[in-house]
Amino acid sequence: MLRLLRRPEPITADTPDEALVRRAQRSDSEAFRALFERHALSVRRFLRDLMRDADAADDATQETFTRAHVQLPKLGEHDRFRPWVFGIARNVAFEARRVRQHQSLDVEGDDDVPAAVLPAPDPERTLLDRELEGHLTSALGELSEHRRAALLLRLDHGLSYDDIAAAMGWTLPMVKNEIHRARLSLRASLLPHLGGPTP
Amino acid sequence: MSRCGKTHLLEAAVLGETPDDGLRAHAAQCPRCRHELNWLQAEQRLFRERAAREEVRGLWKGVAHRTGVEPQPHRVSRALVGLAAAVLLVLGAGRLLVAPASSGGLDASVAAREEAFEALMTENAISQERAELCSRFERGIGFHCGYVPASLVASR
Repeated sequence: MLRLLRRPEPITADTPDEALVRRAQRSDSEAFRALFERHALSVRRFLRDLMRDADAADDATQETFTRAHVQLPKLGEHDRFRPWVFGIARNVAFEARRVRQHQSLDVEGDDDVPAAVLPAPDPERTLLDRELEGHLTSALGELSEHRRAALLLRLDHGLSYDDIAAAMGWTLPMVKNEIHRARLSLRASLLPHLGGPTP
Repeated sequence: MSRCGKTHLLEAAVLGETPDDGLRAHAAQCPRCRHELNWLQAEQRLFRERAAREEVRGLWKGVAHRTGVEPQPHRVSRALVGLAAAVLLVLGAGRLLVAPASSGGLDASVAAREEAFEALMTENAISQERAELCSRFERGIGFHCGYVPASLVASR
């Protein structure tokens, strides 16, 4: 009875993911919703970048969190919800891609990577207007999905290399290598739109 | 990209994963590190601004529908609702048990309702009679018509 009457701790912006995961695992729907609200934004953007289709990304985001809800009781490392849910999102995106068969799964070869040293961007030209955002989107689109996913998890979502390795199911050296190559490709694509001096 | 031995440390520093430890100061002197730092900062700014434009309105409804997860009333609220329901149930059962003892089931309750209706009608009739008689008297502030109809006196 006392347990029934005990009010749970209020959920705030400071409530760590770990606590939310533990509560959600005890069927606390408010905690699961808080996890959704905290991570759905970046998961959706990640999926949109992978799938390049806003509607499909919305659906995939819902599918990602639906799967997360089902699989949450199995998540043992309560503080690793973020890389875990990105791993689910990545699977959802790749499954959707396989179904639609829009692109091949081939990973780009070394030949696609431009020379290592590129001119640096002009900081004053990196303000993101609609045109530059379009260039960024198409630059990302030139990468293979796997490489794009790894790069986005690092640059856009701030995951550590270890977390990306877990999310992608890769080894750490492979993560570093893929992200390095993806980064060089991205910079080469963006350079004409950013300008800047040669080093 | 750089052979100064520090360039690979810049990324973690820019992302706030490791302390700066003078890396930026070093980059000011080292062309390769400065070049890398420019790119890292440009990337960070582009993605940060891009993220700020994102929104996910309306997606929760789909998740809630698919998972069956909806915000539940708090446990205390549920407990209170349950308690209230139990009290009402007990009171209702008590009335059902008491009522048959006085006048015998459904017939008794119908008779009681008719009795109450008659009493109400009598009171209404008295009120109408009283209002009619009182209207013949003088009106004013504080004036009270104390007329009691004969039918009421006879009935009591």
